[in-house]
Amino acid sequence: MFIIKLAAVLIAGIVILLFTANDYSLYKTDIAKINNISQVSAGTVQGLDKIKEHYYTQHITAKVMNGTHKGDTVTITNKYGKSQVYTEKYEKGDKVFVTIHENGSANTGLTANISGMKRDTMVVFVLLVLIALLVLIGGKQGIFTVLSLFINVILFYIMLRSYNGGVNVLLLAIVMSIAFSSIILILINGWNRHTAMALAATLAAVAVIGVISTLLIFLGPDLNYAFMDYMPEPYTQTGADLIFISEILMGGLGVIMDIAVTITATSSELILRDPDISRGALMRSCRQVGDDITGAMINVVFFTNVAAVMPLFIISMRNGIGFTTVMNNNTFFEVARFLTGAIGIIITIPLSIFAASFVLKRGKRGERA
Amino acid sequence: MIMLLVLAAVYIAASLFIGGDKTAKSLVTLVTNALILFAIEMGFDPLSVTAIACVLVSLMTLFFQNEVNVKTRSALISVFIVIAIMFGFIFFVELHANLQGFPIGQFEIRESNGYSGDIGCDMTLMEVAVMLMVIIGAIIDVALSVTSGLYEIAENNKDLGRKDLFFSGLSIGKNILSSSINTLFFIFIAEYFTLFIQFTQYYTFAQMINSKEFCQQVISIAVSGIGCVLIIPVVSAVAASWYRGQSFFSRRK
Repeated sequence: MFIIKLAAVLIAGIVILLFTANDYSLYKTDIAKINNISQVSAGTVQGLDKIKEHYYTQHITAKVMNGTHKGDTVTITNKYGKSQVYTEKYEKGDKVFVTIHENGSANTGLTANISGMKRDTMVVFVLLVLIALLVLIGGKQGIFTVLSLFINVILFYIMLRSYNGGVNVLLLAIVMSIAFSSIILILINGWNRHTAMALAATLAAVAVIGVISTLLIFLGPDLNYAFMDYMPEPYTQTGADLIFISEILMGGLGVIMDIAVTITATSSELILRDPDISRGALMRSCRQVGDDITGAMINVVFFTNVAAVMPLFIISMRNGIGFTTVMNNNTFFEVARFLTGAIGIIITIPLSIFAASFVLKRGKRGERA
Repeated sequence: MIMLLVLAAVYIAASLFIGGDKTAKSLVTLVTNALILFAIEMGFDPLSVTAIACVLVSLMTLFFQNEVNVKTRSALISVFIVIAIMFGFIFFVELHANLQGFPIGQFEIRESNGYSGDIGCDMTLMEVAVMLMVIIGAIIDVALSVTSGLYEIAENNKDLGRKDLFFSGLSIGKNILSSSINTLFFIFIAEYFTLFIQFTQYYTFAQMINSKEFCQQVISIAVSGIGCVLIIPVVSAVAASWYRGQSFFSRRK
């Protein structure tokens, strides 16, 4: 059975990969495949504090794969610094988008400039590996995960479209948080009391971090968004604030849901086994479980949010920009999202216990504990 | 800055008053992990520093945050195995997709803004370091959940053999898979929300899927997902043999 699945996944994967590796005709831009590279040193540049940067010039010959020049050979010159901060080093076999200079001819030799790299095959490859592993190792739950990722991507796309259509971003984020969490929780557990509890706890915790950050943003001094990555220009202060709050809500949502599901499941298990369990005992057991998972969860949120700023940190430090400036400008948003996520994790635990004891005890005996 | 300080204060207060002992302890782990990240940023040599960082982060999170026992030891070995596999995979992808450095879309980081590119630090290795650091938190979390759950099963069912335990480990892993991947997904869409707004406004699909911005983000999401899935069979195998008092490499009875 596993062998059949493996074979099916492998064949499907290879077919898709071969297709994306040879989809030249789908592109309007000229694409060239690099056949040969010769490389010479292009000297050394002195950076700050005796840092040395070596430069190289690559003389590249490449074969055009589509368009009117299909089959022609072009020569390209590319210069790169060893650090490759803004420049690119190309390898034999790389496929690149090129602008061909029309003043040459096939006989005298065509020259071209590289405008970008063709990365689609690699993206598809990595995504295929993920999906294949999810299906092969994850089994039914893996397929569910792929499905819920798919739904998430579609919802996210709808959200982006509505934003571009002029809908208020914070409103969108709130509606989407409710939609995302309801769909995912129902997919995991089906619609029942546990799901309702987990949903209530999730939304309450997201609301708490939303309120905390909104208060801080609007009561504190204006934030400086000049260094927020990819902020669409032009923006207004309030518009940017709302985008940032939306990011905080969505960033906390996944991890809060995770904790809420674990804690409410534990609570209902405990209450089912002993319906007369005191609120104090319930609180203690659930806190114990929560305590066990909190540390690792906070780590997840820390690394996923903050690791991405490492290249930024290093380029700033090596250009003599001080630690506090970097903290204030570049890493501000990542650190803020981490901190709100971590606060979300911690407050979700009591909120989930409360939701569980409230719903279950009332449902069972029509009274509040 | 005021906002960060207030948030940090709220976070610390919440850890101390709402969380239990381990949550309070996690503050120390966090500070150490932050220092480790900072050491990578000093950037002596991204590769060796990252290797040391992976070891230190795992030791800290598993042995200090929790304790040294058969659960954390099997988690540690599995994390190392998966990190080694993922290192090769990430390096391969990185080399063929040129994901290093700052894409044109990140317009505030340019030479003209005072960010000279002559920094003498290989950004290709740096990007590998970033991706390894992104996955390490997530795989430690998954590994620990599987080893703790499996330990309870192994203790309560003494007659279960190594093979049965392996499959129990797989099924524990499968059950937490979806929420781990969702957690990562939401953190990433929050992080790159503004980027995706730009994509829908200014890019064609062909431009987007080939752009460095898009590939950096999507590949790091996918790579962390791959790490989370891959750790499940690895940790199940390691823990199953360890709990039954056999070395991982010895032959099954």
